[in-house]
Parts: sequence; structure tokens; C-alpha cells
Amino acid sequence: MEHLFRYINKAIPFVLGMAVFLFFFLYAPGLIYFQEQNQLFLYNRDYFLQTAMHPGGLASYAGAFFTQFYAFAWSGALLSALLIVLAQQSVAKLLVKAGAKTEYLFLSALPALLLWRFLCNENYLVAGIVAQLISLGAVLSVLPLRHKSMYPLFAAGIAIVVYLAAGGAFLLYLALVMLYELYDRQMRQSGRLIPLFAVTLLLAAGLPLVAGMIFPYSSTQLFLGTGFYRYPMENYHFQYIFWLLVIVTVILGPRLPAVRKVRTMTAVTFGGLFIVFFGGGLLLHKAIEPSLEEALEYDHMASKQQWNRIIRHADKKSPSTPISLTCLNLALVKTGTSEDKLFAYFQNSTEGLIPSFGGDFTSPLTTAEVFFHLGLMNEAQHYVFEAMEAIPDHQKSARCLKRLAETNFINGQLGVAQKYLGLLKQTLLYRKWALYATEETHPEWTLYKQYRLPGDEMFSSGNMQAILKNLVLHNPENLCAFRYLMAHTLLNKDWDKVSAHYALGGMHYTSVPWTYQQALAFEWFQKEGNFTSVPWTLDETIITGLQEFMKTLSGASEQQAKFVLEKMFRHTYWYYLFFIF
Amino acid sequence: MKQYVFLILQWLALCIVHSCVSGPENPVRVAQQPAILPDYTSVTVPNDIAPLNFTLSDSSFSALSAELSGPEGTSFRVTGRKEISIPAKKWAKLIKANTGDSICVTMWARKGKNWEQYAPFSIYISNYPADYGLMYRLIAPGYELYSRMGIYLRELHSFHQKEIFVNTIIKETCMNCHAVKKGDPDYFNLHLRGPQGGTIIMINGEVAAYETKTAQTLSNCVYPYWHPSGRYIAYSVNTTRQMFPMSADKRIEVYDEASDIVVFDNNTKRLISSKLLTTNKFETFPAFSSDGKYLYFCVSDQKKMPDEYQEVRYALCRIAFHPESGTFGSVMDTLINAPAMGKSLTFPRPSPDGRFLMFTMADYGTFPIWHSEADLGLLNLQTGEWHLMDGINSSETESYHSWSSNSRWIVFSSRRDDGLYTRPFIACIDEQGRTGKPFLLPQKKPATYYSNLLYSFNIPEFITGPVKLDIRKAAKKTARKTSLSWDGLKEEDKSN
Repeated sequence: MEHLFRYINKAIPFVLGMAVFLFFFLYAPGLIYFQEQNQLFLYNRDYFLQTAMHPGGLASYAGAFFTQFYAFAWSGALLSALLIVLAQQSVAKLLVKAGAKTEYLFLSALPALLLWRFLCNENYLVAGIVAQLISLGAVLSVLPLRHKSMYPLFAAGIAIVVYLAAGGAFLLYLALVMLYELYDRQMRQSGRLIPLFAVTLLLAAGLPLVAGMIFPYSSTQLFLGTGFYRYPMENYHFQYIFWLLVIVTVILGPRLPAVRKVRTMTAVTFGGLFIVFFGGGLLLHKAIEPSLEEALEYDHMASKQQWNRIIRHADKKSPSTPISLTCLNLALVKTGTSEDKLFAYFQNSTEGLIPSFGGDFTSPLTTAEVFFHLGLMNEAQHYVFEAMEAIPDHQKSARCLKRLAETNFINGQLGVAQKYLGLLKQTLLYRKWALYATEETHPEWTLYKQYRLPGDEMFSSGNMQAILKNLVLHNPENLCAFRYLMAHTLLNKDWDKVSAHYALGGMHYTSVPWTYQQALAFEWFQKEGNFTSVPWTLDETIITGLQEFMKTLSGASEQQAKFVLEKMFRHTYWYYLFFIF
Repeated sequence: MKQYVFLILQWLALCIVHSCVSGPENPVRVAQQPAILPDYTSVTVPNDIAPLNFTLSDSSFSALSAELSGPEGTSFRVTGRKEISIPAKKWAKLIKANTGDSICVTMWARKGKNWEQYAPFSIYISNYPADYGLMYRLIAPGYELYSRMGIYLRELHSFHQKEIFVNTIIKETCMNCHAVKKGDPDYFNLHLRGPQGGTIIMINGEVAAYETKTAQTLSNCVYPYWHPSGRYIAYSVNTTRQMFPMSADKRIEVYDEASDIVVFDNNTKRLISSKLLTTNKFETFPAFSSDGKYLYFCVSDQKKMPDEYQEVRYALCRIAFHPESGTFGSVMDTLINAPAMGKSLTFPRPSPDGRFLMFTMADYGTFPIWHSEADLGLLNLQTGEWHLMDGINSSETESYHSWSSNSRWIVFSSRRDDGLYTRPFIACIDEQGRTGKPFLLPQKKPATYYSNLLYSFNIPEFITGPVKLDIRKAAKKTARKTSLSWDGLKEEDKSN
């Protein structure tokens, strides 16, 4: 039976680790990418000093080190799994040291599940887990020395180290060290308890107060921690909820009664495991916001220019967020399919084409991708810079720096481009790109240079259509701009400008694309009232389709017409024009 | 055991010896002076400046060596693999000993198997002392959003930089408008924007926080300038906007839709102004004269904004100010009619000795930092003549500037490095307004510091001592700030 429990206790970390890995790799890769894109880990001494030299700094540094590998879904998922399993193992060891019976070791999974839940929040940082691990590891390292005479001094010294390394998580260390003192009868009888308690309180209050004289952080951050959450001075509950759970687990574990009968032991163990994993399932159920995950995945694919992959995603499930839709529309344009398939997907005005500036650190990146491919380098640069400045915990971003290096290079600002490349050369995963970033290795940069608008015109998001038109007029070969101009005209319901705008780029087509035919037919019909002398070759089905559509529309109420027309015309320009938003 | 210890020590000694760069042997002589980074060749520095560490701009070297010598003091050699890091004590002794003269730097670089010896260059050590340090804001050269920023104090005689105020202490806080009275840190102004915003004014240790926006003024008070008495602070009130050009050579255009000038009276805790400072025109960038009897400022004709942004051009003007009564003169003098020349003049800064006034000149507009053509100019207040300071200007932006307390040094912001990230340059200026070659603020690791830094040095000011501001106490004050009130237009009483 002992074998069985040992096997079960070895299986817990394995099962937990696999579950975490598969969860993030298959179900939430967007969250993984999001972690990496909001930081810049540099392999230089100054970065280390800047990151590590404050309370909790070592955890921040180690967290950032691990986070750089979140550039890939598999490595990020693997690291998340390893860190969470490490947490579970640490708590398991603490339970053993506290005297918990083997059959109750499944309780060690509870804090680990909570950390897993925390990681489902896109703004909870890997450094947060590292800080807890440092604290737990420190407790495990000092406990064997409990009976040494120098133990109080040693434990106090380690507390200072833990504070500097893990920040507020040192409170967990102090609480656990005191707890183990309370457990130990010999310690209780030695009269050492009260002085130890006094020293603990002194350290708990004193270290943050002293730190406040040196480091420019708020008092709450110095007490409860920095670097665990992307929004500083917020969400401290992530800290103390975990600490409370660990403490409760370590208190509860040894108090649960020993079970003698094998059958009861089995029931307790498997029952406990079932409750833990069922509880975990409830905790993690809906932990990931689907729309957020979708947006992050789409944005990642767009940043990697995985256009066909984006379209395949959309074919499986239509995008439901502005960011996803923006990425899909960019993919349609880049693959030359927007002309035919724009309305094969749900569209939501021009906000799903070129969204307005959001002032956050995520949506501007997607819009910047569009600007970049259009040749609006200044705006791409503007949005990327703003997104980077908007990162709440003041981190810089390798992804942003890469794009900024490109835009500055294309704009001829070589000094700034070299500066950013110089920084990227000090990273692990962007170094190679930075080393070989030249116009020879990026022939598209030459193209984008030609797309840039001359003159003193100012950007205005309210004037987007005029800007797109200018891009086309400046360089008729800028097909991307032409497709965006047409898409903007259609999505903005400027039906009376379709033909004028089509004339700017129609020479690229041997036959008029399907969606454009619909729009041109509608405009012509609205202006002329018939289809005689149509200057373009329109398919017969377009003409008959439009006629049927207009006939149904005029013969019924709006609601009735919508119901009737939805089945056949749902994916047409006309349906969008009359019934969408 | 002893022999093992001895062997280990021997081995360690050998490692130390072999890890040192061996000196230049039979160098190949190069006729030119070295192209060093930063460019410290022929600069003029104060005699207590931190070591001018430097490296070679051509990175194809494996080692560097430099010998520093002067007519007085002991010469010494420095070697390094990436840069020349001059020992602080030896440097301090050498430049002190050669005050009023120059030191000579001979440099070698190892390329491949050979050493190259460059023509030596001089560094001039000025008789004029510089101030204790520089105060500046470190901020990314961004658009509307901001990340980490802070106001810092950097000692000029060392590499030590200390934060005065950083926005990690208060959530979502932006800070600007740091200003001291002629470098005196006992008179300190700082503006915070955000949920816990306000203007912090510290006078001789007494800290007060104010809400400076009144019903009669356009905005919070910005662009502060202390009166030499310490009783008044001149401010601008502006409605400032940004727009974003699409051409490759411009990033941002900042403009005012409206602006006026007000003066804060610390005795009454009120704002005053003059009808000449609150017209429909754009009045901005106030600066008191060194004797406090005049107020310099910039004024532009009102234009339809943003359409006519390229026609906004500021002239340098002044009106009298009577500090005893807190009143203004009724006549406005135009000192430099920059608009007539098709130019715009901003940031007037009189020297503390009253002889000169330095300014920035650009083709148009109110925010020259985003104009690569912006240059510094100098007006002789006694003769009325002015000129562009060609000795210190570059092909990129030169913008904000400030004087040392003895009027013999200037610090200015320049984007000559890469066109975007602003760096502080210091130059010596004599009684005739002649400048020495400017030098970049020295750093301990010059090969990497500025290239890795993603912040600009904004509004560098000389300062004569540390700022004794308790950040946390000051932050708490803003939560209970006092609202200023408007005391109206104060014209001089002509009957007197």
C-alpha cells in the first residue's frame, strides 16, 4: 500500500504538470505570447542591476529571464508547468516536515492550482510565482537547522535575503518559520518562542520601512510586493490569498487524523484527489476569457505575418473582437482575398479594419501592423511607441523595439534604428534578427519606403479614407493601400464613392472582384436606376441578385426583409449595407 | 598544504598578469586624432568634472590604452578592453593641478595584432568652477502616453545620480516643470499631473502643494521661472495639443491653441498678470531678468490652429516688473523680432550676471525639441546684438538650455547623437559670450550607457546643491493641496 501512495504522490506532480502544459499550450497560447511581448530581457550588467536592485528584484529578474522563453507557446507552457509543479512540490515537502500523513499530501496541489489560476490572468507575472518559490525554498532550507543554536540569527538573516530577493513574499517565509516553531514542542518549551515572535514582527515591519528610505516605491509595494502584477500598486490579493492558502494547508495537513485501514486510506486519498482536481476544474473553468485569448492569438499571428493561418482560424470560428477582426482583414488584404471574401466574415464598421487609438498597451500594436503594411511608417511608429510606453509596469518590449527599428530604418532615421538594433542584439531570441537586419535581408523595406507619403500632411484617424486615397495616388502599386481604401469605402458605407475609388486601382484586375462587383452594381443602380451601359463587366448573378435583394427590401418591413434576406445574402455587401450596425 | 596554497597563489597571480592588457609595443602611428565616443577632443571642462571616460567609435579594436598627462601633476596610463575608464582620484588630481591649462591624451588601439597610436588631443581645464550638479527629467521621447519617469540629480564631479522624484511612488503620475532659482535648490518647483496632481513649491525646506488652475486661467501653471528674490514664480498657462506629421523627417508637432503668462506671488499665494501678458496673442516662456526688474517672454500673433501651425512664430519681448509692488510695466519692448526673419524664438534664458540671454530658434512653432533645425542663439543684453551659437550647434535639434550660477557654463539638450534621444551637453562660455567645445555629460560606461538608455534628458538645469525634498511627504501634500486664486491684472502706478 505504501508503494501505491508513493506512486500516487509521484503521479500528482506529473499529472499536474501535464495538465498545466496542455492547458496553456493548446487552450491559451495567446496568454503565453502576451507575457513575452511586454518585456525586454537584456543580457547586460546594467539591466541586471536595474531589475534586481530593489526588494523583490531577484524574483523580477528571474521571472523576466523565464518570460523571454514565452516567445514560443511550447516553452512558455512548459515553464509554467515546471514552476507550478515546483510550487506543489515545495508545499508537499512543507507538509511532510509539518508531520502531515502521506494520504493527505494531495493538499499540496491546492496552492499550485491557485497559482495556475493566477497565471490565467494576463497581467499576473511569472515573477510573482518565482517570488513565492523563493520564499518557500528559503523555508525548506532553514527548517533542517531549527535545532542549531544559531538558528534564530540564521533565520533572521535569511529573512533579509528573502526580502531583497522576493519582496513581500518574505511575509510568507516569516509566517511559515513561526508556524514551524509553534509545531515544535521542544521549541515551545525552550522559551525561544516569544523572542522569535518579536524578531519576526520587527523584520516584517522594519525591513519595508528601511527599504522605503532607499527605494522609490510606495509603502504598500514595499510591504506586500512589487513585480508580481503588471499594474503596480494593484491587486495585492494575488499575494496574500496565496500566502493564506499555503499557511492554512500547512496548518490543516498535520491535523488531519491518521487513517489506519487501507480501504479508508484509499478512499481518503482518491477522494481527496478527486475533490482537489474537481475544485481545480471549477477554479479554472472560465479562467481564460475567450475573447481576450482570441484577440491575443490573432495579434500574435499577425505580428508573425501568418496570414493563411489567420484565415484558417477565422474559417473555423468567426472573429468576435475588434483586434481579431483587424488581423483577419489585414490577412485578407495581404493574401489578396479581401476583394472577394471581405463579407464572408462578420464585419463591424471600419473599427474592425483600422481601429482608433486605444491608449492601452495591446490594441495599438495591432493597428500599427496595419499602418506598417500600408506604408504609414510614422503612424506605425507612433502606435508602437505608445503601446510600449503604456505597459503598466514600465517595462520595455522587444516586439516593439523590433518594429521601431524597422520603421526608423525605413524612415531613414538610421541612428535610432541602430540604437534599437543594438539593444536587440543583447537579447537571446531577437539577436539573430538584429544582426542581419538590413535592406538586403528585408527587401520589403525598400517597397515601404516607396509607399511613404511626402509633404506636410498630418495624420488624423478621422480622415483615414482620404489618407488611404493619397497613399494610392502617391504609389498606385501600393495594392495594400488600394485594398484598404476599397474596404474602408465599403465598411464605411460610402456606396457613392465606390466607383471613384475603384478607378484608382481597377487596372490591377483582369476581372472585377466579386465584392467590388456587388458594390459597383449597387452604386450604379442607385444613380442610374438600371443596368444599361454599365462600364464594368458584372456577372449576371450579381445583377439578378441585387434586383432580388432590392425587391425584397422594398416589399417588406426592415425586420421581415432582414429575416428573409439573411439566408441568401448574409455574406454580401448589400446585406452589410442595410442591416449591419 | 602550504605548497598547494602557494601554487594557487602563483596561478592567481599569473591569471591577473595575463588578464591585463599588455602595453602598446611598436605602434603604427596614425596622423589623425582618434574618433572617440563621446567626442572629448579639445573640449573645455571644469576642474572638478567626473572622469571623461571614452571609447573608440570604430569598434574593431580588441584593447585600448591612453596616457593622460599635463604640464603639472603626474601622468598615468589607462588600459581597457572596451573603453578607457579613468581612475577618479588620478583624474581629479591631474585636472586640478592643470586648472587654467590643458591636459594631453595620447591614445592607442589594438587592431588585430598591431597597436595604432593616434595623434594626441587636448582637454582644456577651465578656471571657472561649475555648479554642484545637474537636475533633469528622464523620460522617453514619446507622444502622449508615458511610462517610468523621474526627476534626477546628477553630481558633476562624480557619476552619482539620485532620484528627486520618481513616478513609481504615486500611481499614474507624470511630472514636469522642475525649476530652481538660479541653481539654488532651496527654491524648488515641481508639477505633478495625475490623480494626485498639483504643483509642489519648496522654499527653504517648507513644502506646499497647490492647485494652480483657476477659473480665470487657461490651465495649470507650467514653464516656471523663479524671480531672483524667491517671492515670485512666472508661469505660462497653455492649452497644448499635438498632431502627427506623416513625413519621414518629422514625428510630432506640438502647438498651443492659446497661452498667457501669469506670476505666482508667494506672499499672497495668488496669481497676478498684466494685460500685455493675457491678450489674444500667444504669450509664453516667461523668464525674469537677473535683477528681477524685467520679465522676458515670447509672443506670437494669434493664428488659426492647427491649420496655420507653420505660421506661428514667436518674438522675444520684455516688460518691466516691479517686485516691491508686484506690478507690471505698461510698455512691451520687442528685443528680437524673429517672425520678421521667418523664425520662431523660444526658451529665453538670461544669464545670472545679466550680460546675455540665450534662446532657441527654429523655423516656426512653440516646441523646438521636435524641430531638427532648432539651434541656440545668444543675445548680448548690453549691445542688443545676437547671433546663433555656431560653435555649439549641430545639424540636429538643440533646444532647452540653462546657465550655471556663475554664468560661465551652459547646459543644453541636443539630439545630435541619433536625432531622437536628447542628451545633455555642457559648454564653457566666457564674459564675451565665446563658447568652448561642448562635451557630453560623462558616464562611467560610455560605450554602453547612452546607447542602451531609452530615456531622454529633459530640461537640464544646473543646481548648486542637493534638493532636500522628502518625496513621500511631498506626495502626501498634493492630496491636500491649496487652490490658488486669481488676483487680477496688476499694472504699474504711473503717478509714482
